[in-house]
Amino acid sequence: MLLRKYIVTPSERSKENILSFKELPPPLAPHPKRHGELILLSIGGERVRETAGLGRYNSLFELDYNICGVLPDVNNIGYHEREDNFPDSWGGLKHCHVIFKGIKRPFQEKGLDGSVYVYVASPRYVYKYEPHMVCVAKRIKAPLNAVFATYVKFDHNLDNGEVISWEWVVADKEQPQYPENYANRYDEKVWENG
Amino acid sequence: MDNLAKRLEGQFGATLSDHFVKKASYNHSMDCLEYVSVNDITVSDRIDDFLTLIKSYDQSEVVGFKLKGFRYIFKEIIQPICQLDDEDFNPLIDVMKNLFTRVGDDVFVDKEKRTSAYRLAIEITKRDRVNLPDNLNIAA
Repeated sequence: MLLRKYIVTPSERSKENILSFKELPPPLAPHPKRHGELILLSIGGERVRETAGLGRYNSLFELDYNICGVLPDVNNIGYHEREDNFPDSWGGLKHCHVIFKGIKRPFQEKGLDGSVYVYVASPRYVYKYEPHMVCVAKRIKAPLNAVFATYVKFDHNLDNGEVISWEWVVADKEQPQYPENYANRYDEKVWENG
Repeated sequence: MDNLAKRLEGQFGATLSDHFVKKASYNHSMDCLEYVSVNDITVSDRIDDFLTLIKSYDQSEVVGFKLKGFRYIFKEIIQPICQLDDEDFNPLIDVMKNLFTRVGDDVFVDKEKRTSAYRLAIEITKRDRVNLPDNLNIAA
């Protein structure tokens, strides 16, 4: 009986493993309607599960750094940036500079496309998956002529928002801080920094 | 990647694949079917309401695609005509995922094979000084 205390069964070990993780903090972002207010968003699991299942590590690093504002949770992060300014403060959705509402496309059911908010940011960096013995995440410059778009669905009162997807999109040629053809692809601009 | 894998499993119930999987996937939250052929940072180029091309980091080549509005088309067009139930959507989308994985593989994976085969053929014709008919159009 006394020994039992020190024996960890495989199922307990796996439970212990799962429990000992550092949770990804909820992203802090400007509220789309209440100017000057910040709101904590939640992260929808579907896109994360899909991305993880396909081994799309770059996309997972974007979630960590470009949305949640934390460094990718991999060993020896910063190894590739040891000669550079590290860590930096460019990560996170809180740096977004404009929010659009309504994605103007066939989406689930009639009218629902209008309920999606698009947070647009121009982060300086992104983390790229690099097969490397020491560290698999390397900070590189953000793609040129592109902005980072995060898609958020809010409840009716705009009290709770959930990140449902994210991607780099081609920037507009005349207004490079906005996505290309922004005037036609979204219903309205609901917030802009400054 | 152990920490990342633990977090994904613990926080999201996600299983981190130990390799990149080239497969079409359907995202219910965004109502789009996506195929990406490279494990890299990509940039989406919206063509119209239904199609987005996925381009490489430097936007020099197309590496995938996104087809949008499957659920919408099902709900608004197919379901009323065919009198299907909501549950009929998932098997339909499974068929679409398989179909577009094949389409993606044909376009992006076989393209590389075809291009290198044509290049090799051109090199051989040059090396062996083979005379080709004028009307033979070889795309390199």
